[in-house]
Parts: sequence; C-alpha cells; structure tokens
Amino acid sequence: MSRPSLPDAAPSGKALAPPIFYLAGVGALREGDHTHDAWHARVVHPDLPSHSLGMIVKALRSPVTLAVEVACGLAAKELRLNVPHSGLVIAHRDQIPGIDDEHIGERVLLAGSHYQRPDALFAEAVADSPAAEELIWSKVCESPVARQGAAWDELIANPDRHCENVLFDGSTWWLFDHDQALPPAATYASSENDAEARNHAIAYSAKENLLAAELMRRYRGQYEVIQTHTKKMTDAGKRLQALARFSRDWTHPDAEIRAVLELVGIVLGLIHLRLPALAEKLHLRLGPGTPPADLFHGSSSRTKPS
Amino acid sequence: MDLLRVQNLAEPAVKAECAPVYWEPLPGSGERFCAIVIICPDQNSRTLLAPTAHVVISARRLRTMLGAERGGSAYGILAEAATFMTRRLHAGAHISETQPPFRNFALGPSRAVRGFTPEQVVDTAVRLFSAFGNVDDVLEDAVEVVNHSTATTRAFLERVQTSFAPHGDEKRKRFLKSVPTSAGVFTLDYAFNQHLVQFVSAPLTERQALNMRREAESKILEGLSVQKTVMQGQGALRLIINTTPLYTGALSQGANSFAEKTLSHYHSLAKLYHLDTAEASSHEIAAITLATLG
Repeated sequence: MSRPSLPDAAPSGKALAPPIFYLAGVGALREGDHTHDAWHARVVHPDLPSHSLGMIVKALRSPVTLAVEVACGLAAKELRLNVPHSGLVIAHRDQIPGIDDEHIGERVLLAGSHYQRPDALFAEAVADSPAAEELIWSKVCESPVARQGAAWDELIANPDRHCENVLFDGSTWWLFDHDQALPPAATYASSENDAEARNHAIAYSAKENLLAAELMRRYRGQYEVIQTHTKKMTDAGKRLQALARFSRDWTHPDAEIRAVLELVGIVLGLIHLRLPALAEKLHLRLGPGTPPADLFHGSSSRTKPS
Repeated sequence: MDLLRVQNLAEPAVKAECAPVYWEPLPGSGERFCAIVIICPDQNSRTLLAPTAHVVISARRLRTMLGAERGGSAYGILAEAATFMTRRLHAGAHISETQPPFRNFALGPSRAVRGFTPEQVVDTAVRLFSAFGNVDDVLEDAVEVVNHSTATTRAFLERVQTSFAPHGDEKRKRFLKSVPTSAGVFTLDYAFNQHLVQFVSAPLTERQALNMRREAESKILEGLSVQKTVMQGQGALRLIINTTPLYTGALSQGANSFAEKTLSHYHSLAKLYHLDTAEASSHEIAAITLATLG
C-alpha cells in the first residue's frame, strides 16, 4: 500500500498552498487533563484523493494561539525536527463531541498535528504516573530528539514540555503541543511594526526549558551537543525565511480562516527573527558557568498539562 | 479408568498468576486486543517463573497482520510497554499494580493458572486471553526462572540438586541462593563456603543460542558482583556447562555449529573473567563436580 503523503510543502520558490484540512469524521476525545480539549481524528485534504490522515486536533479559543500551534509545526518541518506536521482543520461542531460552549458557531477551526509517519501507531504516556514519567524522560533523553528539542523549545520559548506532549511511534519520539509557546506573539501580531514589541518578542525567553533541564540533569556535556543542533537550525534559516515569506501570500475567501492564516505568517516570521539569538539564549541558560538555579528555573515535575 | 494410575497422578505443581493487558491502538475506535500477558509466580509453586510481561504477538506476526510500518510501530510500542511492566514487577509491584506506561492500554483481571511444567503454565496463560497470540514465540523467553536460567538449565539444575542431595538434606539449601549485595539481590545457582557456581547450557537452535548466551553473561555478571561485593574479591567462581543437549540425539550440522560457537563463547568469557569452567555431559557428572569442591 502506498503511503499517503501530501506534496512537500517546502517553499521551493513556488506558491505554497495553505495547510488547510477538513475533519473527515467524528473525533475521539483525547484522554487526560489538558488545558485545551483535543481529539484523535481523521482528516482529508483535496490533494490526497484516496487517503485520509490521522491527526490530533485541538480546540484553541484564541486565533493567535491557533496560529502559534500551526506555525510551530510548519517551522519545525522546515527545520527537519521530530515534530508532527501541522495544519488548520475545519470541522463541524457535531464532529467534535464535548467541545466547549465558548467555541461559537456550527463551524469550528482547530489546530491539527499530522503524524509524519501516517501509517504508524502512536502511544502517549499515562497521566499521574511517576514511573511512566521517568520512563518517558529517560527514553526521550537517550534519543537525539531531546538535543534538538531542547534547542527547539528555546527557539519558540516553550515552557510547556512535559511527558504527556511527547508521542512514541514504536521507534522514535515526537514532540508536539506548542500552543503555550511564544507568549509575546499576540502583542507582536497586533503591532508588528512597533520596534519595542518586536524587540521584546525576539528577546523573550521562557521561564523554563524543561527538556534542556532534564537533559542536563541526566547527562554531562550536553550544552555543546545542543548548540550543535542550534547551528543546524540556524543553517536552515533560509528555508524558514522562505516559508515565512510565502506564507504571507496565503489567503482564503472566509474571513476567519484568512485572519488565522495571516497570523500564521506573522508567527513564522517571528520564529525566523528569533533564530539568530538562539545560541546566545541557550548560552545564557545552559552555558558554562551558569549557576544551577538559572539553569533549570524549576524541577522536572509537570505543572499543568496542556 | 485404571484406579492405580489415578492414585499415582500428582496435582500440577507449577503455579502462577496471570493477567491480560488489552490495547486499543486507535484511540476511541473501541477496537482492542490482548497484546501482553503478565505472568507472575505463585510462591507455592514448585518452579518459580520469572515475573514477566510478555508481548504475545511477535513482530513478524504483527507485520503480517498490519503491514510493515504499522506492525513495526505496534511491536515497538508493545515491547516498550512490556519492558516497563516487567521492570515494575521486578521492583516488587503486585500484578494488579503493574499499570502500563501508555494510554489506551488496560490491565484485565488476573487469574490463577497451573500446570505440570512451566511450558504448560505459559501456554495456558497465553491461550486463556489471546486469540492472536502465539505461544511458541513466548515460550522460549517465558520459561526463565527467577535467576534468569533458561528452561533447559533450570531442568538440569533440578536434576543436579536431586543427585547431589538425594535425601533432601541441608545440602539442597546450597542451590539457588539469593545474595543481597550493595548493587541488589543476586541469585547464585550453587554457593557453599568459598565456592560460587553458575550453571549454563549448550544450545541446539539459534534462538536458544541467543537466550543461553544472555543467560551466561547475566550469570557471570551476577557471580562476579557477589564475589566482589560480598566476598571482597575472594572465593572461587565457576561455570558448569550443561552439555547434555548435545548427547540426546543426532545433531544437525546447524545445531552443532550453534553449540560449538556458544561453548567457545562461554569459555572465552570465563577466561576473560578468570572463572574455572567444567563441562558436564550429565547431571550426575555435574553433581560429582560439586561434591569435589568440598
């Protein structure tokens, strides 16, 4: 059976179609205590006439948060990271059992995470199990995913990396769930040309980088390895820049969707702008001579899952 | 029915508790199957099975059923879950407390099973819960006892014990000694005064060779750990190699090759770690070897 895959969305200099999917059936509510409700679902795309794709779709109230989630997935793809691809998912309300009443209207826009191995199965850690949590951290930290993920979370100022937003496909670990990343994105999006807002959004660092903290706690000499991944990301900056540029051309007849797509382009631009300072941010957090208190800002234990 | 024969029948003495672990690979679909079976020893059992969570559907079978990518993915997830649960069992968790690490797995109620042999117990446990499971794939790994002996070594050791101490006297207590050390509790197949002995076996198949090499490496490490931590480097650690499988019938060329390579590996390992070795072509010879140690 041929593997379903969308045409490569890498910006090769041609016009790039916006990543819009449609929910194909009723979703199954994802277990766990999450900040935002999420569902396991199948989605369809017109470019895949004979396939549907598995996704985790999430209901996010704020258009900016929705855009951050989608932009992070798109950026990670350009940077060749172990992060599920992302897209905007259009759903009917009755396809999403248990959706919050705060989501108004019959049509709902969702953020979708699309498995990079569409035919694989995925496992997620159980909640509230210290032993399972330790298993996930130890396995993730054993893999290269943790090194690139530590740099990635710093790039997108993501304080929300816990063992419940890591997926295991039987051989590889995947990082997902980025809706709490880039907190200054809302202000930046509303005043993109304001120098102060722009500088703040570029300079902002999350209070914690839990993945980096776990890695540093378990292994020696990780700072240099993480910085190696930082260099790889920086080297891939042109791809990210091109994506950010092309995404600004995305449009849609529907005003609500168009607004979210515009925000996705803005957030992609912001992620690209943050790339040059990434090495310095990691140095300040993890570099030699950094006091332990500044290294970690907190313990490995999960606070509030999303 | 022959009355005399009925009177001679003994009750099955190998006992265990087992529980199924169901997996719903597509969350919300309601489609689930028994993917893992947990087997824990009953302390009143004649043979103590190692507490283990077994993936009951082999990687090969999963790939056949689900396709290469999905099957490989499924096996990877199941193997990780089973390894996690086995570690929890070894850490002392009760079977009912051995929750899988991933969502969409559910531990079912446990049942008591028994048989005349460990193989019967494993067969019963797997077939009780799983229609898709393959007992043959599980058996080789399942029939390991608490000190990581393979079924072959375990059976041989029992015969050696009987031959060495036929009257069930104090000498029987020299076998399967649990020794607490600073690095954990280790089991020695035989320990008396300064003499520490581990038993291993010669294999006849490739799969056996893998398991038996693992057994030998594990037992050598356990013996060395006890020698170093408890006996402060003193004491003599020996490896007795059960070669009876090589004398039970005509060996194929392949079996001969597996056996030769594995025996050579045992001797090399023993030389590397300064262990004495002795090959025993019968349990009586092994018992005599032990008796000469004093």
